[in-house]
Amino acid sequence: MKLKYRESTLFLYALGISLVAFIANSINSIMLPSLLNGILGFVLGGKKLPQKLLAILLLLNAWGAFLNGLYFHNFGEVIISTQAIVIRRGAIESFLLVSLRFFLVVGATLLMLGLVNVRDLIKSLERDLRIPPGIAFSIAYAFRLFPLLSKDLSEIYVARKERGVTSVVLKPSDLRSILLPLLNLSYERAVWGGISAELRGLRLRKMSDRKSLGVGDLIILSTLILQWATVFYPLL
Amino acid sequence: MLRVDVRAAGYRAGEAVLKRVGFTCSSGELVLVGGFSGSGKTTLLLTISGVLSSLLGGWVDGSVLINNVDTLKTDSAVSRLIGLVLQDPEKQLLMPTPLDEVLFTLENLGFSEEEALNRATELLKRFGLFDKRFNHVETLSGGDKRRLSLASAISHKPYLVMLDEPTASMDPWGIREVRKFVADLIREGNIVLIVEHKIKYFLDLADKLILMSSGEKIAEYSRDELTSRDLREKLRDANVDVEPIHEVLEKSSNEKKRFGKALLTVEGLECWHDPEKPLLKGVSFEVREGEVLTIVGPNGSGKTTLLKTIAGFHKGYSGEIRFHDKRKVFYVSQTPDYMFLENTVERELMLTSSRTGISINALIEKVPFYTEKKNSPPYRLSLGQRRWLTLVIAWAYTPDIILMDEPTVGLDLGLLNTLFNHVRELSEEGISFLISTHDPRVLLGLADRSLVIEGGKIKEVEPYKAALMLESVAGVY
Repeated sequence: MKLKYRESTLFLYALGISLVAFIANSINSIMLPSLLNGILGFVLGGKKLPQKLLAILLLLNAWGAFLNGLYFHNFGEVIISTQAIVIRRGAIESFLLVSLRFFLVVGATLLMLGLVNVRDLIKSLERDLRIPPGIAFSIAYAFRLFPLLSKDLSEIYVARKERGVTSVVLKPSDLRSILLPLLNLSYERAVWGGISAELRGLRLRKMSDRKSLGVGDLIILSTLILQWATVFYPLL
Repeated sequence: MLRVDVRAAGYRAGEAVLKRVGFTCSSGELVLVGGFSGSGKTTLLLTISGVLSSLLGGWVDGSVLINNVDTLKTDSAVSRLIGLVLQDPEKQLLMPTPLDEVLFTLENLGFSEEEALNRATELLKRFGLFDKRFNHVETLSGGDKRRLSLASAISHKPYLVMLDEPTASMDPWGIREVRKFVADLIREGNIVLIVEHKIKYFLDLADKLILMSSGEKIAEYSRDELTSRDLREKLRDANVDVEPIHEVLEKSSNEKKRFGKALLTVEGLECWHDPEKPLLKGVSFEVREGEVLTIVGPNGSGKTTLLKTIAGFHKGYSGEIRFHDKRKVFYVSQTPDYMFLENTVERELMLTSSRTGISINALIEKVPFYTEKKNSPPYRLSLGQRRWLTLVIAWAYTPDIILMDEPTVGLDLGLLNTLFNHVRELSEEGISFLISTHDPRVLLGLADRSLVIEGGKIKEVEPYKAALMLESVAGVY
């Protein structure tokens, strides 16, 4: 028997889990939800995003988290010491916390991507959560852009190699020079995507009647509440 | 009936981009709108569709009546009356699968689930996409994406169908499909409006040609006038791409020239993405100093893969790629924006100078729009300017061979001639070019030799004959 659930429930789940990532500030409390969502997300939704983009996102995050730890939290007992670098407990903890948060957000998003169809998601957001069509469409369209971003990124790396510029992000200026073309192209696509949607009657969409909650929805929401409890209960 | 009477229109208050544009047309007619880049063609299209005033925050003084419905005063009816095909399918396609894409419009417009599904199924069959209806859009070929954009634009049977530069990034095989699509729409009694640089591809189908310049309508010609040879010559002299290649005299540039030493030899090359399905087989050719060599073939035939293999970016290959000197090639992508690393033209050139050792003044000298645009982001330059800037950057790296991927996409005849002049100038300095293209104008205007890809194999064809072959496929020869 196929478990039935509303796409909007998965959206709420992903939103709720992302909230955890922003609020929780201890490694112990988010370890379990991070691993759970990270593994489930990569297994169920990993194929919906280009593997290359995922790998680049992971690398960018790891590098950013490492630099952040090193520059802003490198205090406490010395863990690794070489001639070039001294890494203290604070840097390691900060790296782990940021990485777990990232895993949490990406995992929950991938989980949603893996289990919903974009067109059904738009319908469900409008129907069940009464989100205006324009906003529901924008959320769903973002997922359409992921594969294009991946294609752009690989072409940008080709151009960078041709120009003898590093492909490894070491400085903020490296990141900026990658993001500049990426965002410009995405912005142009988004503008024309908006025009295309508008001319295809997005504004005229009628909301259908709400669907009642099913067993699948209750399971998803219970899982969310359970994870909230494990993270927030110790804070109370 | 479509009646356009725009006295003025613009994106910002007080700044008119369009001025005095008016015309009418009836059911079953095709209106072509031609003009240079920046002449206001796309703005006209956005004005007629009501998008300029309703979505982009612009303004319009005038009226646009489609069967007596003013698109500038009503939001609700416009989507039902109009279907729009954008220049780039990547920008038009919004949903993950072909079925979702077609259903999206129908659902928006309130079709019942059953009717929407029936209509979507019928359209996907008509456009040869039914078997791929659940595939992700990103797995479709360029041709499939184009067909899907056409299908989704007419799923709701609009009365007016507008196409923005439909041939811009299309190979002649795709152009032939669009010509058939347009002919079918006209026969079914729709009004079709096409904004296009290369009007030659639709001239035989057109009932009217509107020429625009600096946002104004400068001329309107009827079907009878369009058949006149005098008018065609006048239009050609005004740099309007109006005549098929076979009506243009063979150019002297195709005469045999003497070139320098061999720079690159390719022998027995086989390229693949999937080793079991090689894209190219037994490819052999040579590039000599100062030579412009074109590679011709349909979208997806392996032109880009071949260039990227030579540039060292594609690893799935066997065979020999031999550089006779030090390997010095530079690959210029079809999308110029990928190449830019800085947020102003000035900084872009400074970075190029620091990377290559070429003096900043030498670079500035090569960029005629530098003074005017030095503080602009490179992404905000016109397409022609962006293409030229990438070519200057490539030149600065002093390559022996510049590999250019579809360099003429989106260029009007004026910009095209400027690009040709720049390429000729560099080839006279001894730089060779290997250009992938399906544009007959490149073959006629630039190519010293041309290689045609057919069924994964490559053969040398005289450029003029290759150009005629492309025009023949497109249906204008």
